[in-house]
Amino acid sequence: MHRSLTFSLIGLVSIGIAACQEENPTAFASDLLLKEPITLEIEIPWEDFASDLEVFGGYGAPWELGTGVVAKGFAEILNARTLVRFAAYPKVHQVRDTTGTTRADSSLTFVGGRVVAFFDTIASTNNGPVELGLGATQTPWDKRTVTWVTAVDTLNDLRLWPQPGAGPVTSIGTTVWDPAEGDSAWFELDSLQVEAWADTADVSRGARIESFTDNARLQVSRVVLRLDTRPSSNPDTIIVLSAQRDEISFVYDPIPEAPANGIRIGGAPAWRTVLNVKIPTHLDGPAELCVAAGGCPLELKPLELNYAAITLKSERGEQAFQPTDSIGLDVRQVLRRDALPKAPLGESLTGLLGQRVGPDAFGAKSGTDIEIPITEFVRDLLGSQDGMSPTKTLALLSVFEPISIAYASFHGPGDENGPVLRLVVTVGRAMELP
Amino acid sequence: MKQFIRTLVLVLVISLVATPSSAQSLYNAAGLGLPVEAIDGRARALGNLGIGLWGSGLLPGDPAAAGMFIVPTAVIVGQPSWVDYDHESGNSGSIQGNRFPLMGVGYPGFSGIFTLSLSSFLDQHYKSQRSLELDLRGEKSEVTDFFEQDGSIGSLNFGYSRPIGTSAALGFSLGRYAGSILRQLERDFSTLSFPGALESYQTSSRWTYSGTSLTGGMAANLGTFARVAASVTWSGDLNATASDDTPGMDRSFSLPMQYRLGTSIVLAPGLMITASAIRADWADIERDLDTPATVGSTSNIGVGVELSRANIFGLALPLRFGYRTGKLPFSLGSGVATERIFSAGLGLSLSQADDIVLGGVDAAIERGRRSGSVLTEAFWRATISLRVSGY
Repeated sequence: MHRSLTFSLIGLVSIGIAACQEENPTAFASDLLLKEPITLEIEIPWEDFASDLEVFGGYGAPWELGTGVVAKGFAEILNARTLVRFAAYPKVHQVRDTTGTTRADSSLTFVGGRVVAFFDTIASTNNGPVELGLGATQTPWDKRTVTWVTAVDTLNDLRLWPQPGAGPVTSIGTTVWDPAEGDSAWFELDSLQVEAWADTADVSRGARIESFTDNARLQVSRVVLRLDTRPSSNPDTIIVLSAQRDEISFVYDPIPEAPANGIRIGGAPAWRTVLNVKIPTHLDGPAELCVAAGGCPLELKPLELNYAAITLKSERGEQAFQPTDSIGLDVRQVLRRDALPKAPLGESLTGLLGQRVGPDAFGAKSGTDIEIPITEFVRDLLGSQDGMSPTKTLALLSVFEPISIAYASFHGPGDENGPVLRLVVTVGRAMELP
Repeated sequence: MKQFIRTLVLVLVISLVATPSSAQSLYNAAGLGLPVEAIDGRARALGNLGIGLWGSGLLPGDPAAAGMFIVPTAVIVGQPSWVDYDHESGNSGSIQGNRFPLMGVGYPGFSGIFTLSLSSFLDQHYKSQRSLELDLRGEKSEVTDFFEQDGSIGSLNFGYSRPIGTSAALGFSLGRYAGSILRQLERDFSTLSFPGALESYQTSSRWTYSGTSLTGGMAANLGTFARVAASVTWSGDLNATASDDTPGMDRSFSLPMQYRLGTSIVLAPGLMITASAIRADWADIERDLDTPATVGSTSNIGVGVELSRANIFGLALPLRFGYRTGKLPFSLGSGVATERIFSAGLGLSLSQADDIVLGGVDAAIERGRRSGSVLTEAFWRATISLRVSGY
């Protein structure tokens, strides 16, 4: 009896488990007698969701880019020069001696060399050859604070360049970079200049690269010092060693002024645009929305908001600072507006890469609507404010700061091109029993 | 007694393993759902509607039957099913599911027997989806609505039966409807191409059910060749109380009186026939439904025959055959849906003292068809019940 009972119970459980692999019945659309929610897009003008626009500059410094810029009279106004310091020269190198044996040689003689500059062909504006000049700086300079007019601007230490534009320099030579022939150009060095840059204790040492060709803006992606080296173990042979650049920065003039009523993002140092936002918690239209919701005003609930984006209209900025590459736009919450421009920021609302915008949007396709989605932020705000509508401050900035000498420009509020908040909402009647 | 307690523990284990039960028909989408009868494998095999069967039983629809055999009793019923559907839209397919429509125990006291059972009442689980076109930013975009209704209604019944003389019994049970339902709709925008992802729209509401029912019944043996039984169930309103954190409103649904009548007749030793009927008029509930639904009366009848002389290895192995037909209370489309079922089954006595089965398994297999104006379902359904009795 007990055994039979046990077997029966096991059988019953087995059937239960086997049949528990449910396939849920799926009825058909015609049987779904729910009223259809309505989905529509609503555009909220600047006046109804934002205020207090301000543009702040000065975030980061050119040296943080790790690249350089050279320009002469670009767009008639921009001049830029790149400053480089090289790291200590190699002290030991494995050299094959006259007997054919490879061994470490620590007695190296540097008899000459060349500075090789590599250019970003996409980010550079020139299509034809550009004449470049290389000079050795004579004034101590600080890579973190150097500008067109100041060589050093640290605490209690402000020193100007004797000549604005990182001058004067001892001219070393000139060269021509033609993008049709490659992505690099080089300047030959004699042994005296190589020797002069070997002293890493000399804070005035450095190379200045400038352009002698008007209306070009070049982006220097990398600079390397190639050293012609004579090893003691095989003095008949010249080998080429490299000294990597230790520091790189660039100086430029003029520094652009903050826009009177525009939105600016990017640049080096970077620009940020700050605005206060107040997300409407109740919607009064359009009519079809009110019908679908059973009346207005409709309280907007987080799960009814499908999409929210600040929409900016791009415009041509100053030609000299026109982007030549994509810019990633970011939005972050400003945690303390009263602490601006040094207010702490919250997490990115746009993700790692931000909202990518191509350079054409600020040139041939200016006037393009650029949407920066902030759906999660708005949903959280709607969920946390409990019918109230607190004001939050957002900063529009580039994903990486600084990103380039160029910056993105957008129309500010005040006319039909001003920023708007685009919402996609879905509303329907409350879910009820049949 | 020890065995009885052990069985109770096992029943509990089984119920934990098996939950949650789920749906077995697309008719769950109609009205308040599809009724799920709380009857065991023997009744299923005989096409019986849960009343008037010869012998003892622990069936909520036949409260007096428990009083005909006053010993501790426990029963559990498992019911997997496999359904092929064919919709007027041209869609067809299959679904499968499992449920445990009845778990119950009975224990003697005060010259009668007290019963406690958990039984199913209405199954409401189903999903649905529809595609629709949105006009956003001047472009037509297709989005999909996903709807899911997850819920069921059961009843917890407490009853008492006692014999009247040597050949009759009276019984009643007080039932408490219980259950919950979650209805949720999600609109998926993943096909839309926007600068950022569109979050789904979601709305949902949850309700818990409550209500009261009272079932009274009688059963009488006419000599040793027949039994007749009748019962009636009165139900108060079925109340659906919305959760505080959901927007749905409280609702109330009128439930019908249910009348049952059944009989078993022993035509010859080892040969018994049975017939039963149930009627409930669900018309009153129509005005409680906001969504148009086809509501009808359920008038079900079932007939069956049992050959109880068969045995295997010395154990009784009764063979059963049955047929039942009836209407569904809620239908999709315009007409009232009907259900026809042919059934067969057998019983296995695991332990028997004289004519009294102390432990047994009853199995039934049903081949049925539900037909409505827009949906036809053909299904196989197995029912296995385990019943244990003894001191």
